[in-house]
Amino acid sequence: MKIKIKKPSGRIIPLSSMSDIAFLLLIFFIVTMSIQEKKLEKIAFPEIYSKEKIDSHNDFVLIFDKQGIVRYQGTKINPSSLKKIVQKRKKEKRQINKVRFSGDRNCPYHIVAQYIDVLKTTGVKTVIFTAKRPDTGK
Amino acid sequence: MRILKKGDEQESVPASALSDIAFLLLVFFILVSVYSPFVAVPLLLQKESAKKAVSNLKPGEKVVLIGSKKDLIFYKKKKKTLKWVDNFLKELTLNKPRTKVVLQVGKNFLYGMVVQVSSSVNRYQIKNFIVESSEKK
Repeated sequence: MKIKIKKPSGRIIPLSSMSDIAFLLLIFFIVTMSIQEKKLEKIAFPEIYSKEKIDSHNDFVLIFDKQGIVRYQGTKINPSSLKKIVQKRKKEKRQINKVRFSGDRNCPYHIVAQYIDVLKTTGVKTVIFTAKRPDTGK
Repeated sequence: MRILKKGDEQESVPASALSDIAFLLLVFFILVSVYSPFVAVPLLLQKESAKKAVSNLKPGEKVVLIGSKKDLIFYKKKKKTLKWVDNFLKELTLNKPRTKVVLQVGKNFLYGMVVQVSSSVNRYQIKNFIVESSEKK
């Protein structure tokens, strides 16, 4: 009787997909890092039911917190410095028509109104308030 | 001209990694297309002349909502809820679409409340909406 002897099968761990795994991990960490950053802002946005999307092309965004501290590109500003920024942009022929306000719902409106009044004098036609859909958790 | 001899290997595009590429793209797009919880509430800025014109209007031609303290809304000296304001504006657009809406806000009135009212104004496409501070700076 002929006895078949099994040849030892050389099992090799495929290493070709290691780069894919590395990329997946890279993407995962990039994404989770940005989420952490957003949480740090701690802004309680007004909550409304709406379908109107945020225009991501609008780059002029003013961010303000509960205390009414207004920031533009991470720098604290006041109404007079805002006027200078908008006028500078106007000179550079980059007229601003829309300004987005991303702020805390508990901020007194009269602070926001000061900035809106300045924007009006510089020719801004529309302000956009950022709100949040109520069904989404923080 | 190159003549294929026996034993010459034919060149071929390796397709085994295609599924990996597809999965990578899939993961990329899943992660990039994040469901945004944010929505926009636009507010058209009215000129000073338009504001003055509204202040000269007769009571029947305009509606004045008063925002007082932090989050109280009054209409004809009666306290109202945001839901009431929403329904009121809805009826207003159906019955008197040309009526101007003015929201007079006090010093402590919250930004969040203004956004809520502005949202209702946008929902019912009220074009003549003005937010004004009742206290002079």
